[in-house]
Formats: sequence, C-alpha cells, structure tokens
Amino acid sequence: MLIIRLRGKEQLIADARAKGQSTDQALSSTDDAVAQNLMADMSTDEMDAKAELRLLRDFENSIEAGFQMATFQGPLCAEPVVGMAWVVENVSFNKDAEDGESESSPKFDLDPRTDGRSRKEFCSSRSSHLFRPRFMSSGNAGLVATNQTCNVHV
Amino acid sequence: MAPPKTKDAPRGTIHGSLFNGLVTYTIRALPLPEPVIDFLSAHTATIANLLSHSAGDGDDLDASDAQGQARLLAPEQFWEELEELFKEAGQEWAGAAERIWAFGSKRVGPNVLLDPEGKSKLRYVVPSLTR
Repeated sequence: MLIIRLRGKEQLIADARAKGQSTDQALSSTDDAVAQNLMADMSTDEMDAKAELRLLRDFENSIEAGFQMATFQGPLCAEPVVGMAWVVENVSFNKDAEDGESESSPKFDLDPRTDGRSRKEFCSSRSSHLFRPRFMSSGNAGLVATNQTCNVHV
Repeated sequence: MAPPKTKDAPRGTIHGSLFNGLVTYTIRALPLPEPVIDFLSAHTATIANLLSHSAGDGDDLDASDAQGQARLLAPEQFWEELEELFKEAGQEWAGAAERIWAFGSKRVGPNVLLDPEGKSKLRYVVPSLTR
C-alpha cells in the first residue's frame, strides 16, 4: 500500500464530489481515508499506531518546511532553486534510544538551539551565501555574465 | 564531473543524522527533466488552485490568470499531462507524478519533493531491542 500523496488526495476528493458531497465533506472523508491508509501500515495496537501517526505527521511537516526553505534560498547566492527533485529515500527514528535514555542521562540533545553542530552549520551556510571569498575570487565562477559599464573621465 | 559524495550510492545521495543519531535520513537530489521544469513553471496558477482547493478554499476555476501563465487546468488534466511528461523523460521518472509530496518553492515552484520509488513505507521506526 502506498502513502496517499497529492495526486491520490486529489482523486479521492474528485470521487467524493462525484458522489454529491460538498467540498467540506469531501475533504473530511479524504482525510479519513488518508489516516486509514497510514494506520493500515502499522501492525501495532491502536494507541501506539496513533502516537506514531502523530510523530510521522510531525516529521512530514518538518521535512516539507525544510524543502520549502531550501528551494526558496538555494546554495547559489541564496537564489531560488529551479528544476530540482529531492527524493526522501529514508527517514528513521530511533525511538528506543530515546525511550531508554530518558531515565538516565539524556544521550540526545533535543533542543536545536543547543545542538552546536547544526547551529554552526546553519550559520555558516547562511553567511557564506553572498561574499564567500573563494567563490568571488575564482574569476570564472559566475551565474551570469556581468553587465556593467565604466566610464573613465580624464 | 566531481566524484559522488557518497560511495556505493547513486549520484546525489546524502546520508545524514540529527541529534546524535536519534533521526537518520537519506535524501537524493537530482535535476528534473527539462520539459517538466517548463510545465511546472507555466502552471503555477494551476498548482496553487489545486492546493487551495485541497485546503477547502472553494473551487472557483475562473480565478484570474497571472501574467505569462498558461491557462488554468483542471486537476485531473494537470496530473495526466505531468505524468505523460515524466513518462517521456525516461524509466527513472516513471510514476513520479504519483510520488509527488510537495512543490517548491512557496509551494508552487518548479521543484518537487518525492517519495522513494517502489517503497510502501517511507519512514521506519527502529524496533525495540531492549523491550
């Protein structure tokens, strides 16, 4: 069973509307179908499945937000990205590591503000967008030909 | 061409982890086929309509077209044409229309976030070893 994505949802909505439902009804029945589709993938009991469903939905939103940010401010001069596809091949959540460690000393630093590594990476990637010396001095590296004129009055 | 960053994986693949390995992920970046880029760029209004429609914002298909935009397509027509373009682009892209998770940037641009191919489950919660 595949995860229902944009196109699948669109079809479900169209089907529901063809049966004479209003837009709101169509949307809610589509949401139900999507939730059931996700639930069916999980063989654990209902409470666990619901908790995991919530967790995965959180992940999905974060991944999508990251995608929107990355495409809006790309790696070249923070310009929007055009024509790229990203395939999220795998995401795994090490649940037991979190459960097991929470009683003793926390192994995972869950506050992103104190995660030194990701913060540093974030800052460096932001500040290096524009005037990274290596990029500027390499001479032949340019997105478009420079279009400047200079009049010298003697 | 520069060598791939990750060995033994298709070009563009990156493995990463967050929070000391609490979450691990694998993402592959690859360029979209040219016709698909053109199609998506030309139909941002259709995509926006598609998304707002899903959010329950009504379904007036007569929304005014932005300048330089192709005419608004019905959702079914949009997906069919997109699928056709992906099919023409080669084996690698077959069925990609079904796997589209999101468009970007600003939710309507000519970039796509995709689910993995031929995999029913994207995410994986590492099973208990201690329990």
